[in-house]
Amino acid sequence: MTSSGPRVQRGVLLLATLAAFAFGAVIKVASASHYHTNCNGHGLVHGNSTSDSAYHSRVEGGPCQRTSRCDVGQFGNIVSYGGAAAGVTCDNFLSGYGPECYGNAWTRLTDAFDYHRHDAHSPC
Amino acid sequence: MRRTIIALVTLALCVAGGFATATVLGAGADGSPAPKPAGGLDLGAKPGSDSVESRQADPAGRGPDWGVVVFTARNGHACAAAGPIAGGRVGARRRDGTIAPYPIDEGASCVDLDAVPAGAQVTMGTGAGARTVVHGVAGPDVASVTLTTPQGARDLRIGPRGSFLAVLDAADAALGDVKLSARLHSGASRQLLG
Repeated sequence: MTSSGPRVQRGVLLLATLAAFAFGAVIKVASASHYHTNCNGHGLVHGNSTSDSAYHSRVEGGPCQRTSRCDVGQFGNIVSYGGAAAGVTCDNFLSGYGPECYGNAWTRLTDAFDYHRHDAHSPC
Repeated sequence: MRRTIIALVTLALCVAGGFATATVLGAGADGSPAPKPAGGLDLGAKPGSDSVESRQADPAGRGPDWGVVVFTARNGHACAAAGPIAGGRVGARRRDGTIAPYPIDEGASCVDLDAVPAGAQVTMGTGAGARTVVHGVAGPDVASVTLTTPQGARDLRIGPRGSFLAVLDAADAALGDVKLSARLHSGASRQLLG
């Protein structure tokens, strides 16, 4: 009995460490970086520059072939709505509406992920 | 007390470590300035593969004609982007009314025509004079493409490289009002939008 105490404590500590690591990873993923993949790649595509006020909202057309939404905007407001047929890359391009760091992309892929917002690669 | 502090600091470092690890792994999904996610689709235009088709006037006669730039992506997908034409190129209207060329080297609405008979997208702007734009590209199996809105149904003209385009006043047809279907040479039909 006396020797199991430290062993249990070490186990609890290890579990807590792993849980904390996973928690950090989950927070990062849930915060929806500018582009990520869930079935299909999607998010805000900054293109050749991250500061030229020109960017796309995009949901790739594969490998999952479902209908999608790709709205694009600035300062949290939608400027243009977009929807695509199954298997098509939904691409909505916006240029000259303000600083790219305030750019937003709202995306959805039917039966894969719900409508959610992505912010710029380097948010203000 | 000291042990508690060490434990709390360790836990905080682990949370930060998890966050950092996810950040580094996530950077692989789009770490480069070019919009080419690792393992994703390389949709930039093959040089010299683009041409402009399906030209038509603005529905209210305001501003330049509209068109579709059709191109082949580096991954072989058939791609199309629609917008007003300026200087012979399809573009996107800026807030100040000028037109920015569509950056086809960064991709557009693209589709694998070996997997589906046609690709289509609908886009609707906001504000006064906004347009609802339906565009896409049809493969060789498609005989016709039919657009249905609250104003009625009509076939869209299919261009030499398979593009099609309809530009509507957003007040007449919102995003959810648009239905688009393709009839195949086999007699079968496919619902593309709506």
